[in-house]
Amino acid sequence: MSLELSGLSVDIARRRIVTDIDITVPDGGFVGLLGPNGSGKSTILKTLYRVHRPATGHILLDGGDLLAMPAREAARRVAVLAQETVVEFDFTVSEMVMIGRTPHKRAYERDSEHDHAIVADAIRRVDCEGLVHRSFNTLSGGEKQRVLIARAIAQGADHLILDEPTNHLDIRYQIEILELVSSLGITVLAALHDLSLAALFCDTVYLLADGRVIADGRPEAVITTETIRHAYGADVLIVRHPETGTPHLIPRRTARDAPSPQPPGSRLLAHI
Amino acid sequence: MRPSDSDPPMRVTGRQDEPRQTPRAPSSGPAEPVARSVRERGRRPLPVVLAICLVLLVAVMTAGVAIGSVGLSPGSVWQVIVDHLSGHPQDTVADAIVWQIRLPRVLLAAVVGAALTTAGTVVQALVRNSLADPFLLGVSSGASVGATAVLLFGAFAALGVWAISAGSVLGAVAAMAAVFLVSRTGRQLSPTHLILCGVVLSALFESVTSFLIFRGNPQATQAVLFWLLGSFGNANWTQLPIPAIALVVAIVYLVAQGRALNALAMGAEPAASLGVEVQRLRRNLFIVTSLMVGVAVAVSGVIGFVGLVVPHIVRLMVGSDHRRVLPVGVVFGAAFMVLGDLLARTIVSPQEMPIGVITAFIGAPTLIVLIRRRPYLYGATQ
Repeated sequence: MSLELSGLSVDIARRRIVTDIDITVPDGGFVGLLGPNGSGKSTILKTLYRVHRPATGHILLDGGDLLAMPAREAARRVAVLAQETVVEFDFTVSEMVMIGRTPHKRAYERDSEHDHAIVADAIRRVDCEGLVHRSFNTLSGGEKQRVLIARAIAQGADHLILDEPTNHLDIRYQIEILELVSSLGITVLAALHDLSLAALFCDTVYLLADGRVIADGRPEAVITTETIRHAYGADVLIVRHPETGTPHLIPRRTARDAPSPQPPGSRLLAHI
Repeated sequence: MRPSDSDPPMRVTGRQDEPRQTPRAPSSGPAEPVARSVRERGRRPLPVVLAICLVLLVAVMTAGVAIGSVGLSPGSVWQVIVDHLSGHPQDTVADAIVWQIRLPRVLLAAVVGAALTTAGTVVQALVRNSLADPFLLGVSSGASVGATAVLLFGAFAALGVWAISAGSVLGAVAAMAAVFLVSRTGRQLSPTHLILCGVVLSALFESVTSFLIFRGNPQATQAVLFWLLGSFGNANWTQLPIPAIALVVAIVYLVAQGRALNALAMGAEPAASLGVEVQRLRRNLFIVTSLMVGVAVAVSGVIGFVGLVVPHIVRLMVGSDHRRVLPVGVVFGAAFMVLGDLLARTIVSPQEMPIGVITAFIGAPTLIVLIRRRPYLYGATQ
């Protein structure tokens, strides 16, 4: 149940971008979509919120066709947190979060006390009480993403799509944003760039290459030296996270004449 | 694929034990002050701003009717209006000046000012670019071709006083259709294509206008140039209903789309994820604003700067929420244009200056002062 993509193919400008995708996101699950740039992660996610149309296949939400629902109704079930977006206009944080109420309101319907309470609660849950009247454009990248999470909370959806929301953020905010999202208790489908971070947060991951799923399952089963070489064409070492046991990637240099590890006491500084 | 509860070990705490419901603020605790500040927005309340702008509009309109080659007192102006509205018009000179000449002119300026401001606000959200103005989409240059054809070659002569309006509306609609068809790729109407095609086709239409002027009668080109710069000099009551109705219909539709416009200002993809049918909304916004601008240009010529500057002034007053910007913009844009017209016909009296000169002279410095005085858009600090 919950969110199911079956046999999904998407064409953009008559080119097939993703082919025959089957993904199941169980209720309350945190499912990761991994793969190199251009492997089709974003295309799949954008099909879920109607930027692209599928050429074949279905997207089922609790058994019903998500794309056949009225757009507003679908937006009450599925919210999106994307990469940092640029907003040309000057909205305050509270106005930004109130925009999350859009799919719940009819034409001319005013913000009710209920909406104010929902927005205030969402702002509190992302710890942005101090920023309520700040202009969104004056916030740091991490603060912006927290405000956009608050907007998704105010949207009241029980599914959240993440499209590489932690790009450009430093490590503290990467962890903070994913921790915050996973504490919401909603169903998450996330395209993530950082495989080690994905392994830390996802229950299930799907690895894409050239628009097809080449492996899926628990992170430790999917993220292996072989699958990474296949999908990314990169050589990595994989170690276990000492606290969680999840896979962690260590990049390797490919050039044969790459400097070998310096013996202790060598003149490392000379290379810098 | 569903992980069982005993599954180790990367589960993050707190997800399962806090089932998601529609969030509700607790009745006590720290949420209440936050809710209050959300309600208050950190901005002036809309009714207060609207009331101030309305007072300004009434004052400016009264001045616009009272001031002129024959000065009238505000009291006598309102006396004439009350007399007419109560059905007992007096047969006085003041009555003729107010009712026949100045009032229709002031009302037309107000309607056109409101229409251009509204169109500018919407076009800026539509193409997500705060430098856009309503003439970007080619409508005004199309209208110019039509009006120039009428003024120089007597096209639509059979329509009499309506010939210029007919010519410019026809030109505007043709230009709108051309921009719409050229900028569509498949079913999509992308802002970048819209801007590029609008600019390119505007240039093309402007060269057609230039060609017509070049081929036309040199004596008539004076009239064309005056029309191109905009004027309310020929205002009369019969010109008023069509733009007024167009404005009301457009405002009723646009205010209903206030939330969707806010979502669209976030970008097409965020708007789609918020349940907005982006392509349909863009198409409707394009048609509504083009028609409104076309009708406004038909009665007043091409009055620049209002549609670009006034939306910014309004956003600086009330923020970017379109549910606030649109109504305030209608009132403030109307006042701005009435004041501009008042200056246009008094500064070099008894001659009249094209109002486009005035709007640029007021608009440009005003915007620069506002931008420099307050943190605005990027790089703002608080």
